[in-house]
Amino acid sequence: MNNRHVVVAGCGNTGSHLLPHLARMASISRITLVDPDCYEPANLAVQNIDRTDVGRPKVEAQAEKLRRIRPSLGAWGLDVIALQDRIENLPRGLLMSDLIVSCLDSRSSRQRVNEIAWRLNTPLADCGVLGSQKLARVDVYVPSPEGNCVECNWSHEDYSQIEQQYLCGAGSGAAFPTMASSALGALAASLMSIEIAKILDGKRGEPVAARQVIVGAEHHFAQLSTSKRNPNCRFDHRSWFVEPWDCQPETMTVGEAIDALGSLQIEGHLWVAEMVCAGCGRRGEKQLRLNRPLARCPACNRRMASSGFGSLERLDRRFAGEFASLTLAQAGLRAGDIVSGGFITACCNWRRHERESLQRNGSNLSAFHGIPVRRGHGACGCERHPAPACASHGSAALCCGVPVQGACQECAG
Amino acid sequence: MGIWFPQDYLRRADGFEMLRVFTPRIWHPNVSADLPLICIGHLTPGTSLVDILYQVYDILTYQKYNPREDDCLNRGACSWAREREHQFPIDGRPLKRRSLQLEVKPL
Repeated sequence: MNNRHVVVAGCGNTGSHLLPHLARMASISRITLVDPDCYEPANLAVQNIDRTDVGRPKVEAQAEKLRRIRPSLGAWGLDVIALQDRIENLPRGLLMSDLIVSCLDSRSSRQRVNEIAWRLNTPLADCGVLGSQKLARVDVYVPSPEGNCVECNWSHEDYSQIEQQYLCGAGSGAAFPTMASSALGALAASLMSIEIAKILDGKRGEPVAARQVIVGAEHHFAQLSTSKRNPNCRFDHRSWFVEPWDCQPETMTVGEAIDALGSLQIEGHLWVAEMVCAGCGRRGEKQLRLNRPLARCPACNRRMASSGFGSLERLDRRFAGEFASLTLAQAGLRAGDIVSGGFITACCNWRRHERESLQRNGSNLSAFHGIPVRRGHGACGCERHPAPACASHGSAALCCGVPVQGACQECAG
Repeated sequence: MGIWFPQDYLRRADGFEMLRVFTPRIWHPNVSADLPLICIGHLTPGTSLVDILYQVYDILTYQKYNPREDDCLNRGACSWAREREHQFPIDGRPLKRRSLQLEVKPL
């Protein structure tokens, strides 16, 4: 298996040290980078970046480094996709992969990534560093009917410490800085990349699953522990069974989609009909949309809130009403979104081979429908940049300044 | 006042989504005058309903309020409240005996 796809969430301290290791792994052929931020001057002290990276989006700076280590062209090419957004705002189909790696620093993001990994039935490798005690930690979670998740050992206090953002503008939702040195981040990254190699080598389930490795550099100890499913865990440990759905978000309307599926739900998102701004009192125009929490007030840039109890998890024909003629794209759906309909609500844990046998048998159990992702030019995966055509050869050459997979060397140069 | 619980309210608590005011024109720094928004401060996953109600009562009676100009929901009420700090709370009675402790258990 030499065509693995790995999603890396977070390109900070550990993430920036981990990525060069991943680029050198022969089994990985595609890496998706997810991070909403840009590098700041303070990051130079602890992260694996240089001065030219300051001010640039983290994902773009890292993607460029990865392409310098291993270009996308050639037999041993590495396809790098940079997504500058918070992972919970992205269509889940873009994150379907063989492994999700979490190099995040906040409890709330870890919780989101955990949920995404379980829904997509994808192994999750999570790492953490604690600067004060020089601890580096790596956890591996593999979704299975008995498997444990990130939240399995969380107590009420852990939930109380989830970073919050308030309506009044206080609290940015950001985590406390971990105060970890560059060396500690690199230690966690090295541990992590060794575990990742084990997972990708096909030892799925054993012996890496449910294991936690902690290295304490201050007092010189290493600790291995295994965890079990907590029967009182607040997370439901559900996985999706996803089948492709032939749908063009730009042309299919909300009404047509509801006719086809019974109703529309994008799990992890809510439908909102009206937005208001707590900062300046501005009311957004009435329009149905998904609450990808990207929406900020155009006047004061504060995060907007949904007005009244208008938000809905599942959109049916009655609520869609006047909005039924909007296209799915206008309502905020994007390629890669995973939609569940209204006819079937049950879904449970399937392991991958069970999934495949279900697909072979043409089973009717599918509850989720993925809008296909069209990667016309493959290199950056973005939809903003249509592939420019090479004048002499008529094929795509560069996207976002990066040579496109399959383009001729002449065009790419 | 309305409180909407998402399906996974034991795991996440987002004041943006969960708390709504239905009665308009409440004069308070932390309640919006014309939008259905109220800021009650720290809301954690699994906070019990009674605790949210106590918090709202404390806010509406000015037992608790946060008159900071830069992060309030009603600037007029905010400067008004700053001038009248000695008059607050406008109702000092507790809503109920505080010993009520409801334990929230996941299903």
